[in-house]
Amino acid sequence: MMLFIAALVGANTVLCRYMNAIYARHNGLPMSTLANYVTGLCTALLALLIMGDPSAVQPVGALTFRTVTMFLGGAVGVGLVQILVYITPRLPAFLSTILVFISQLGTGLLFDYWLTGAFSPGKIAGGVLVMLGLWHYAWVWKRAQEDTPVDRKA
Amino acid sequence: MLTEERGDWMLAFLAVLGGALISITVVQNGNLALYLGNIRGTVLVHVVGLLTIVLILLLSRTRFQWNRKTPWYGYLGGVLGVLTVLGSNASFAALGVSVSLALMLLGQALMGVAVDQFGLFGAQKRPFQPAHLISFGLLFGGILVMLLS
Repeated sequence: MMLFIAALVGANTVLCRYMNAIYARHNGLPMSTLANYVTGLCTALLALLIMGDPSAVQPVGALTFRTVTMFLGGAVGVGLVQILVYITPRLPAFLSTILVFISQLGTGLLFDYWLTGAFSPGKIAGGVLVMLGLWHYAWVWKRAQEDTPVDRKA
Repeated sequence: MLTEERGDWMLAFLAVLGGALISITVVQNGNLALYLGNIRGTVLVHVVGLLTIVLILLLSRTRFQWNRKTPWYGYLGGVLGVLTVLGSNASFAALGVSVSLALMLLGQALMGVAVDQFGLFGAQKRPFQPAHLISFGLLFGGILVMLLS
């Protein structure tokens, strides 16, 4: 069951981008971001009301880079939502999904290297394979578009 | 190269920037959840995000507008976003990071292929090309190597 839920979460992230893009098509990019946070806050408050939060609140303690920046996730998220809504209707869904995912993994690797000095040749080799796959995917598309004009919806 | 529009590489760069920002917010929100708990943390993330976008709209003097013809499912972005956070937290706790990431990628990829294949949500139709099997092999092989090493 949990395996299915994890895959569903993945599909959900793509759906989420498209729903925001549909809102943006009717109301513009900034208003789409606003709507995303209004409906998201309502949902999060509802979840808190229904499920509660079993974890105890820990004191933040001394102000460090980590404790200060952790409060800014929502602010960074605004830029993130705007970027994703902007690229969603403009790039093929599969390609944008893989680009975002692989960048996420790559940044994670950089964080690991920066914070712990951990370096994995296997991950670099995997990254090269992914780059080749992305290049091949785009190349096939380019050829297909040259051969036959694709159907474009209004 | 990637689409018929100009500025394709700029779009690809933005996608990569988006992925990097996801990683940053995952670390920030994960730290916040350690202090406040998952759901309280999610509420605070949305409060900060809402204040930020309202401030941006006010400073840029953007006119608040609402098109009544917006379809109902256009409002689901924020709802699905919160469900994604709650679902991925539960998945990471039950399955671990690598398996969860692999399954989430599978879900994302299948949904991405479906959107391209059928032109869902007004997207441009991009039917599957048999030669893409090679791309998929390279992509998933590479991601598997990254997740397992």
